[in-house]
Amino acid sequence: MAAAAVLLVLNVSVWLAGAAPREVLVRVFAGTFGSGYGLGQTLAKATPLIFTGTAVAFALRARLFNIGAEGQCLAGVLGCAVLGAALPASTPWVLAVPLCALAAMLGGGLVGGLAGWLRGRFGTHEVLSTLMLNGLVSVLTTWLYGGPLRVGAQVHTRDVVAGARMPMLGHGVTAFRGSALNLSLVLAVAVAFAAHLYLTRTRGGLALRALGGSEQTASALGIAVGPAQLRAMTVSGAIAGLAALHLVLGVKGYAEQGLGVGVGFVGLAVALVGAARPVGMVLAAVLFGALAYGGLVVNAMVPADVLNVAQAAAMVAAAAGALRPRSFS
Amino acid sequence: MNALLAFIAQVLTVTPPLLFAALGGVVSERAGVATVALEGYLLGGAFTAVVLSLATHSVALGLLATLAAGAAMGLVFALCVVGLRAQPIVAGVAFNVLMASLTRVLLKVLYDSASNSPALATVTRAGASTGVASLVDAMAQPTLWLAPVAVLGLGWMFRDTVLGLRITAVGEHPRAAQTRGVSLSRVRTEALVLGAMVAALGGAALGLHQRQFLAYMSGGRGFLALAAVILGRWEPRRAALWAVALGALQALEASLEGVVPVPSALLQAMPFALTLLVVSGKLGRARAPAALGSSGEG
Repeated sequence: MAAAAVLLVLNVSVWLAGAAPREVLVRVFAGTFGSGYGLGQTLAKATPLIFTGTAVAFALRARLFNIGAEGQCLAGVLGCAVLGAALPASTPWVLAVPLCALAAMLGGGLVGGLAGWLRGRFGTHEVLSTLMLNGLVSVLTTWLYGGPLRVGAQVHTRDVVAGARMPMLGHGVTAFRGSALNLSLVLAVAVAFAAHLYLTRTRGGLALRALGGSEQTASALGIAVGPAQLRAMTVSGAIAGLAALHLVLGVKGYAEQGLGVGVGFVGLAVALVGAARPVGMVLAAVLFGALAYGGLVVNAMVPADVLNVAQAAAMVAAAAGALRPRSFS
Repeated sequence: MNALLAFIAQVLTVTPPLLFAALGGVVSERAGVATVALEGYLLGGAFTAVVLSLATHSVALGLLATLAAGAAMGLVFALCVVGLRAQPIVAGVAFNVLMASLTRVLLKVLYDSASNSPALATVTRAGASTGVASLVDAMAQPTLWLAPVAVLGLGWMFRDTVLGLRITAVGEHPRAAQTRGVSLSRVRTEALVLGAMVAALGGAALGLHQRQFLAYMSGGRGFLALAAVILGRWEPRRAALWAVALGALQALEASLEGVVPVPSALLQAMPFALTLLVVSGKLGRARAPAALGSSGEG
């Protein structure tokens, strides 16, 4: 039903843009799933979405609505790029990658944690605080990338050290050669499952899910609600920040204005379409990745934005179908 | 003196988009529907105003079309949120994505460029070299004069009309409103349509002043407007005052640029930081409509 609606919107918008819908759809499918390179690009587009989707889901399962994955992801990109460039040039990857990952988590975790702390301490609704934090981070990064952190004429930060770069999967798997797909996809999937295991198999995770049931239940069980909310939002932000593993260490090698923009918002849709469970979210991320890359494939026939229209429709479908007032815990 | 006049002109130019968007936000949020879609309303409004003014050679017709487009956008959003019961915030984010891409697709179709429309020639630019000239230029914008009308009109609506009272009732206590025979979906739809129409005028102010439509030209103003809504405690007059204050901040940033070594980021960050403090109850309590943030089921 939802899929049919999305397909209909896609058809109408392609037609509106003055092209034959069937031809465009065939091209999108062939370009994304029909070749090793296309699949690689699609999975590369999906990688950061798995991180932000998992981030949103993590908070959602504690009944917190983190719409700040956008800003947390940008903060992670900032932290990762700054530390990655500050490391000594000869840093081996065993040190460089974990340190950069920590910096990314620190960046995202601080922003998410602030929202969590405000919620736990003052009862500030996280939707409002994360929205404002998105604005703050966006202003801060725009200024830093355009000013203090820029290198010469280029409006981006210094390159991260060679040891911190993610291995491209195209080197090992010839089918993916040339695509942006890198090892961070494996890490993203691992994080999605690890977050799920933490929530379902550990004491701390069960406390968060009790919070997801209701605040009253949680406090009746002896769980300190405020600290739990702080923890949930900090971890959520840290996971969103990890999207930098793909964006900075995998694709660009540096941070720049606009890198990661939109990834957090689509992560909302990924979490909802995937019902906040890892398998569902990975599949949802691949779907949204295909829409994003598919737009580029058919750009010569219709504007890439046509597929974004379909993406918006998929998000509405997700919001309508998935987020009925039932618990996600 | 010249600098002062130029500053005032700048305030009068940058405020209307924020002000209308904030007023639109007040109307829809008072009905208990979180409205992240303001950014999309601004884009849609700007697009319609510019394209229709180009096509009809009449700014007045462009503005009328903007109101119609606003109503259409409000209906679409209401269809998602009220009809399909989509979670309002996610639907709002989706709506922003939709408008950002739809306007680009239509630009491409109409003008064979996905980044900008042709420039409007209908309004002649007074050559904003002197303070007086830019002031005249700012005052020539019809949307500027509509702004106080909208503020006073909406204030009156919330105070003295059945619709206004119903909107507030639905946002504050949906159950009670329902037991008095008020239809939640109907009132929410009306509020969303009206809110989108008002917010779309902000887009028109933006597009008509810049004399063309540029892709993504809303540039985060919808979120700034949302800050004004919260800072203004969901009241039309206060939200409008905050919109003026945020507009003055933007104008200040423009006139200080290159003069005083204040990083413009500091000024840009202020509205968000201020709102964060206010919603955290550190700067006077901001009390939101009770049904806001809930699933909207009442």
